[in-house]
Amino acid sequence: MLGFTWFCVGALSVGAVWGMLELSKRYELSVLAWALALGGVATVLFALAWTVGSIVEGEPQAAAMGATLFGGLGVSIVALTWRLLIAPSPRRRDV
Amino acid sequence: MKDQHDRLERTGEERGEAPRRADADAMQSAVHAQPDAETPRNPGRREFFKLAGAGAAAVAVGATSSGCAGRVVDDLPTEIRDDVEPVDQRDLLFSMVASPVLAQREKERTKAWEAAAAKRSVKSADGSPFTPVGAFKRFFFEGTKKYERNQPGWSQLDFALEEGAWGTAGWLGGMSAAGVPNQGPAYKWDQSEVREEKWEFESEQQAAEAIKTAARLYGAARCGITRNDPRWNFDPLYDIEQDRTLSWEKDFPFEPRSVIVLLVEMDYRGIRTAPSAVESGAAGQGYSEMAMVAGQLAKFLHHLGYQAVASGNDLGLCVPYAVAAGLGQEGRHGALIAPSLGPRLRICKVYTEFDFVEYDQPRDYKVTSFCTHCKRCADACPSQAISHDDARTFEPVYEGSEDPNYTWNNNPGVLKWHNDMKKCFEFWYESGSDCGSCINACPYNKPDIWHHTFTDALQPAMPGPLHWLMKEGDRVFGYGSVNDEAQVEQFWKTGRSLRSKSMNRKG
Repeated sequence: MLGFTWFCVGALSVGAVWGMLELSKRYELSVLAWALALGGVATVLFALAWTVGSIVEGEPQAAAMGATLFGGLGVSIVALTWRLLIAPSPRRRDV
Repeated sequence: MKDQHDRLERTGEERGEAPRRADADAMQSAVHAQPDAETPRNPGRREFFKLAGAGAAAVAVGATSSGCAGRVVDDLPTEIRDDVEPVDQRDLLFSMVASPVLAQREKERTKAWEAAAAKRSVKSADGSPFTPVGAFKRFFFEGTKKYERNQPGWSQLDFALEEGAWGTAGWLGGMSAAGVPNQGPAYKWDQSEVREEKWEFESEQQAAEAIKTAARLYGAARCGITRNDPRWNFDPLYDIEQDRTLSWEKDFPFEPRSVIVLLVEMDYRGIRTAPSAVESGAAGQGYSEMAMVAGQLAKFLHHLGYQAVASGNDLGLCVPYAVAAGLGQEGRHGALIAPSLGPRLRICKVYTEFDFVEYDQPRDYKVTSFCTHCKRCADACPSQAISHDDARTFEPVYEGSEDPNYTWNNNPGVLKWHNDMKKCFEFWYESGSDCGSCINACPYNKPDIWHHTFTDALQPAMPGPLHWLMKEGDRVFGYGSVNDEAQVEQFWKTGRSLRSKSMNRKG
């Protein structure tokens, strides 16, 4: 089960980087925006792996706390980065 | 490539479109080919990946150098006074409780302990008052039936598990668990099977690798090799059964030069039930495996042509030898804490004359700093035997420590938390179990799953106050609960899938 989780985390990581590259074509992304967005996604993926790991070891409370704390933190970082750093700066198209 | 890039870039810009993927790839190649390009397309992304790469490298180097691997130190990672002396085995708690003759001879000690136990109202399940020898007799020889009660962890089922787990420890190791030397087939001193022709290794490194490989095959979770150190050997040795002292020079069959230290892992799910008879089963299984691992490694050395004696709790102090062999550090509870295993382990040793071997170095895993701020074991201890003090001391400072007739079992001279092991033993007598609450509650006690290894690696880099936060986080995440009946229920389901897959990983 953990092996499959790591496969999913790997696929989702690649997907996140690809999504950011796509975003960078439409928005002006600063170093801070890149760092926070990918950091937030990494935190969400960390929470996913933590949660599955805790379920595998038979600790449901650790799984719930990991999903809430780490997952909540990651989602918050991604949401705030989008609202404050990415959405306000669309890339201008030169005509 | 450059021409292609120019063409693609022109066409894209001419169309007024955002560059397509192929365009972006070509541009990236071009930027690499032209470091002096005046207007790189995405400076933010480039800078980010540079910083991310440097950061990842720094984290990797940091985690490798200071994480689970520990930092090599010259001597043991604690202060040791010059006047520290080998422990007379008659001063061990187990010698006192297991030997009626010794207890009778040391009347003042017996009286002081009984008075302290009476003050603490220590009684067995049937109301009998505590006496050191009586407690040992009831606990070890009269069977566990009298402790059975209809509660999870304390039923006939749970005590049957315990009795079964201790089986091989008794068959192979006799009374070694109480420190008695030269016991059973596993820990015997007999050297009659040592081969005359000696196997010569090409290098010390090859010898160490061969010994550790054999240890792994026999079931050891960890193995380290250190020099024989008379400070950590019992001297004189004491045979409880015959009430006589033994000398290393006259009685031991050879002069030991090296000590091979072996760690045996205890079952995580079993230890999580502590205190209970199931936990005692996990400990007993550890003792049984100790006899097999150490006994077989000694036999391996015999057949290489070298004298060797396996040792469980006898011959010497296990924790300092394990620390000297770089396997871990002593925690607040007095047990060894090893990376990934925490204190959920048992230690056995093999004393040998063989010394053409690469020795391991002691390592500092920053355990002392964590234990200073944690204290979960001290909070969980049902008999309050473990120190809550922030500072470590060279001498015991617990209640009654000013009376030499009460503190005879502590060995002064090593800077550590000196715990009152008499209180610990009293709870064994009261409950009919080996307790194990301190091992259960320790935040280092975790199964071998990635996020615990990750936390272990981070811990040494954290400043002290964050250790307190990590301890509290451990509690909030639900680890280390004691007297938790749900853990007993969960333990008895761990064999559920054994028909179709191996469930014998202990952590």
